Amino acid sequence: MSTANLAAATKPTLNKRFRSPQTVIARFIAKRTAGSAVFWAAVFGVFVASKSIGFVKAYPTAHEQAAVAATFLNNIGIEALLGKPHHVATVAGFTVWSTLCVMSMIGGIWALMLATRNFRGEEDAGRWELLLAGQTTARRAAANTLVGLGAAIAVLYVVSAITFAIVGRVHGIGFGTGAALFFALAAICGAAQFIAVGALASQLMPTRARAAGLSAAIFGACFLARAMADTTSVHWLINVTPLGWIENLQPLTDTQPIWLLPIGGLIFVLSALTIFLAGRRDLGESIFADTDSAKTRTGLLRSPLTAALRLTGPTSLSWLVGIGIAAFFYGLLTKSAAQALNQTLSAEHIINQLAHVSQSLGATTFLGIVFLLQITMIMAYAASAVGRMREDEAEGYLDNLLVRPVSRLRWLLGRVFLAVVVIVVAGLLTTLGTWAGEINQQTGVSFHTLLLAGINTLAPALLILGIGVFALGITPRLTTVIAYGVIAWTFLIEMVSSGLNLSHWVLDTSILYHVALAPAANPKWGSDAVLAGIGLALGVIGALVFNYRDLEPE
Amino acid sequence: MDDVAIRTKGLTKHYGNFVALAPLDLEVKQGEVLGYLGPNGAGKTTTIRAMLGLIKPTGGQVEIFGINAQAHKVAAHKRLAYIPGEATFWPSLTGAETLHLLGKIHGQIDTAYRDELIKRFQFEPAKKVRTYSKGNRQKINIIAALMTRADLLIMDEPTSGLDPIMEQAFRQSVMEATDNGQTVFLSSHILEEAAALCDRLAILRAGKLVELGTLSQLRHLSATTVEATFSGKAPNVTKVAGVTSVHLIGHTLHCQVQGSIKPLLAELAKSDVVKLLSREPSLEELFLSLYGDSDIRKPEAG
Repeated sequence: MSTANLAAATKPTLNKRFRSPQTVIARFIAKRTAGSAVFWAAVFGVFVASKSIGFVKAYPTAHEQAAVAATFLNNIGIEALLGKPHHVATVAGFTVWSTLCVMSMIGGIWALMLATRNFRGEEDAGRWELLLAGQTTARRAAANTLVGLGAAIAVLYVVSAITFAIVGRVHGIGFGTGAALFFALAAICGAAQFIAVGALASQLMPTRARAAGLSAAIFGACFLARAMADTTSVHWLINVTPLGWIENLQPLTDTQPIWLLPIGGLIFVLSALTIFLAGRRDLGESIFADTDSAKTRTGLLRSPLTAALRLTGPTSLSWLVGIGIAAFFYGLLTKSAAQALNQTLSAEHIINQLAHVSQSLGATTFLGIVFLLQITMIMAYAASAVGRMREDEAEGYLDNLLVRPVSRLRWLLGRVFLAVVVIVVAGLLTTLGTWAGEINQQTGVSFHTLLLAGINTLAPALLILGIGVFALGITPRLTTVIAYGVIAWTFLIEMVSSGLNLSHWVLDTSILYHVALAPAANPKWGSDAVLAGIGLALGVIGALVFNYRDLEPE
Repeated sequence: MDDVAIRTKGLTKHYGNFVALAPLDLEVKQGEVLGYLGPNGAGKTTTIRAMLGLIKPTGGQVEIFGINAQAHKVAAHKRLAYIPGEATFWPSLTGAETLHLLGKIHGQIDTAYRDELIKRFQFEPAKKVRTYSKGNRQKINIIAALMTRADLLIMDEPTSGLDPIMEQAFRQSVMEATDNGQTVFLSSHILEEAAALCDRLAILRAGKLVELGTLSQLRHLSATTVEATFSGKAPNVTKVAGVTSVHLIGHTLHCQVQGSIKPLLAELAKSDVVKLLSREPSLEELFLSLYGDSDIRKPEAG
């Protein structure tokens, strides 16, 4: 090659489309997060479509709609889950009430995971350092990351808005494009708020796990405050909690756009704080700094199993505390929820026939819903446990063990054993929590019934664990995606199946479709055994493949 | 039982069509220090990870002290300790806690020697792992391996991230290990380190073992460097048998000679030589002579 040609070849080429280096991080984050935003927006769209179309199909006349709406009123158990119903005798009111809170929760959890991953997660991995070595500052990089995550929220909004507008045009539903756009805005507010919460938590806490933990705790507190506001005498709480502001927006019915002000204000303040703190602290440090040194504590650092118990113990304990508190909280609401449900059931002439168990019938129906939510939480724990196993391999921690006299199967079986123990304890805590909550309410639901319902929670989680171990063996890089994906799919089918006339082939793909709504119904032990058996079989296959394959670092 | 610490027979690793390691037959004697050299991507780490069972070989087998290391990994690993080039530990544990855990899992440690190593490497064990620099994290790897006094030490670029003083401490530790009868398999980029520590050198190129022998044996495989300064014009030696890489800088001629030096001396003697230097190639020159531009590995190359 001649000198001239060489010079021409090595001369940096300028992109004809001007792209400022100042926005490269924002563009990178936006590109990386847009896919999941589209996915969740599609889920929101299907969810809203299923609820609204299902309502119109099931209750085509105004009389029927009013009758069914009456069953939802004054049911504090349901209100704790979904918020106060407004205009639920209308398609629009029912659609908002049955979907908005769920979308806010899903969006919030997705957002806080996304934010902590892109802020503290990148810093933990050392990639933030590479970015800051470029033409940027810590504050500019933080602002860029917020802009990138904001772009993901914008994608979530645009796709949701389009799908909601399409749903609104379906015959019999009839909400306009403007109303659909505002409804979509309300739907993504939870995500937008918790992006900001996760971003700030990433400045405050020294590791991604702790930042996610703080964000999750804030989310839990917000949910609890909103639920208390809707179900107790402290109604004013609704006006001071972020999830309450979303409920106050009342899209499609009594639209109150004024509540966008505190929502926007919160996002602005938290984002500004994030940017300010990013520039104030050193890279790798945090505002709530962990101690750099510590007294040596060698407890449990004896074997791979006991070390895993110590290293994953705090996270497992957090899950168990969350599951226990949720069970206790819903247990407290059992009597009120049962009374409301009994009114519904009496309309169906059941009370007359089963007068002596009327209280219990309403209570078990409500607790059936509660245990279903608990099953979902326990399944999520199982997915997180298997995700942690993959993380140990991806980060290289596992290498430290396997180059010593430790077999792969010993390590994996130890971790699976710990996860199974936590799942069993979570099932028992669900029983104990609800029992402790409803013990003084004379609901008529015995501890034995709750214990059976608690045992009924185990099979789906064991199946998720088995699926996760299978994925870890076969396709390790997709372990977390597959484990959480199965839960998301199951949850989605569960949410939309009541509204859409889904084929049993589709319903069969949902794990929860095969689980009895205990204690509302008797547990299907045969079905549970099949689920657990499939989990065991998948787990064994996964473990055998894992024992044989190459380790795959990230 | 023979005196072989590591024996590989046809050890191979393919990733699809890409040959990361061509069939490797290698023996490392007990008490020997073998340097395993090669540029990035030559297959050094692949060899080590296959030996340790972290990746599954496509073919061949590995024996560690006569134990089939693929079938009986745990038994084989009881006899060895490994120092990887990258250190990733649990960030919430302190250095002392990490060393305690790794020692317990290995099953045998010399605590007095561990304490000596902590002092030698100026390691601060009370700090949490996440606060350590790369070099300090690497010290955990080194101390954790050496404190076991394992019969075999497998090292993959062990001084990565260490400062020159710590590199000296590391060399001292390896020499102690060999004095103690331990076997060392040292994969390194630092040729000076390999030349100073190793009894034999194995050189890997594009997944293939291309040279194996002592440094002096390898030197015979390469050209002798000659520098001759003349009072006047230097003679043309390009046509002399065995002479390559001829460069003329002023009145000084630089060239390399493969085989006998006699024809070159005869040619030089015809001119007025004022200064003549001849020396054997350094390990670096040996290494470079084996890796021309054409040897830079491309992923698609089989």
